[in-house]
Amino acid sequence: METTIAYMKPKTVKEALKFLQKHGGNAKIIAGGTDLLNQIKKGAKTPAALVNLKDVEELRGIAVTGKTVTIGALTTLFEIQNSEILAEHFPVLPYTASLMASPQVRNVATVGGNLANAAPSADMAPPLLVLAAKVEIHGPPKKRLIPLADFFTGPGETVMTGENILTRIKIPLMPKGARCIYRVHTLREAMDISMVSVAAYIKGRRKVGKARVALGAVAPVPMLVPEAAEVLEGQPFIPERIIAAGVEAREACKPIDDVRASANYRRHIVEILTRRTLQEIADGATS
Amino acid sequence: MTAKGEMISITVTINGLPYTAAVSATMNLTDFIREVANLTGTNVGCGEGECGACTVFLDGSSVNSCIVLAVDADGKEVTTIEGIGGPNGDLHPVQQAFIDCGAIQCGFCTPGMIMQAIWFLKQNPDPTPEEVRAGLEGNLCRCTGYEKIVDAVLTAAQQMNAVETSVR
Ligand SMILES: Cc1cc2nc3c(=O)[nH]c(=O)nc-3n(C[C@H](O)[C@H](O)[C@H](O)COP(=O)(O)OP(=O)(O)OC[C@H]3O[C@@H](n4cnc5c(N)ncnc54)[C@H](O)[C@@H]3O)c2cc1C
Ligand code: FES
Ligand code: FES
Repeated sequence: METTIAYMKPKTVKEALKFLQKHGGNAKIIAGGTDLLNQIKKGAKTPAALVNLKDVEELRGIAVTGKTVTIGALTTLFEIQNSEILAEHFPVLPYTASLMASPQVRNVATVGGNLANAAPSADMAPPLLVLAAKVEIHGPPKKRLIPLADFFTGPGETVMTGENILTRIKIPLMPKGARCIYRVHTLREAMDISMVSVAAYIKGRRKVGKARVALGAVAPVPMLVPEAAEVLEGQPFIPERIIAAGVEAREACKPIDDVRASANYRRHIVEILTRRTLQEIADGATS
Repeated sequence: MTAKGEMISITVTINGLPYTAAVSATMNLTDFIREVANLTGTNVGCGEGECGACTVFLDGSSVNSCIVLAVDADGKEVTTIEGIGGPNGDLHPVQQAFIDCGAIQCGFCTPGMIMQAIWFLKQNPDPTPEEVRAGLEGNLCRCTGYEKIVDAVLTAAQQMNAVETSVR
């Protein structure tokens, strides 16, 4: 796999953008490299150049400003797992990071890389979708902030071009009385890619004010299911509505057959896992 | 550090000694450790981040060296299995516990397993068996069935904590 290709380790987003532009989309950004290096080894990606983001300090860290929490794209899964800010405001995110990969991978893998790689099973995506996160993108045509729900366009595809950089993730603080959790269905407990995953956000205890449900690994992209939210909102938070939401999730998902499971099995699990996840929130779960 | 389709000159400090070489941007850290520094204790099982046989410390964090670029270690400190013992060739308490508990069979996973166990015990000096299993979830062993490895890590934790208390 060793080839000599152009390489750059910029210190700022500006420098990185210049280099990407010069290579006209044939350069690849490398963050943790845990997805990209395996793709290069397998020949799935053959970049003409690498732009290593690790020295771009402005892309690191987690901060609260006003009613928003900002997570730099280069923040590692280990840092997310151990963040006090996230433990306080969005305990679902440290919990999700703790489920992913292995300690060694979490020490280098970044949240930006997880989203930019755009695997249908990317574990950070469903919780961030239901938290109504936005992503900040730099580069042509211009710097922009878009809902994560509009970011993914297909397996491995996003709205970004090869000349764009995902810089930050911005999450609005949850209102009082809102809870958000993430549940996965895997074959093995350790080191397994999710077969089906469900994230849910519910505001309200007896009666549901706002609801969001998202699914992972069961469609070309991690997806919100507005139909499932609709049958919950404005209704008492009771088993009948939860069962109805599970049915909506089943209808909305678009799974494929693959090595991990058949499409039919996945649809079945979507319904059950959605129902269980919502019931857990009703029972008081918080991450 | 910029290079256009050329070799990139890097210096990596491994177990306290600096190694300088010109490498390609895509060379991984395992190859640098094994082929430039000639330290062959770091093994390659899968080459994909799945098995943990290539675990080393990069500036103190445990990483799979097979999915880390050598250029990412430029100017940094790497510790491998060869670098964890005492100055007189004394074994690290985790190494000794692996021997005492019979946690080694073919030995292929052992260097990575021990590196990860040392890093894990730094994060969590007094773990439960479940926490040890979770801490080593990225390290595969085809021989031992893991029981003795978990025993060894718990034994090492006890010994290291006892030493620390007696020093205090
Ligand atoms: C053994 C193993 C287990 C894993 N387990 C899981 C798991 O359980 N769940 C899971 O979701 N994933 C898992 N992964 C996948 C991977 O670790 C994660 O997706 C990780 O978060 C990717 O981040 P990275 O920084 O390593 O990305 P990289 O490999 O550096 O980049 C991935 C892609 O995103 C692009 N990119 C990265 N950062 C940016 C940016 N800021 N702007 C624009 N583009 C960017 C790169 O060009 C590349 O195409 C696993 C991987 C391995 C090797
Ligand atoms: S060889 Fe690196 S994780 Fe298997
Ligand atoms: S002792 Fe043989 S692989 Fe672990």
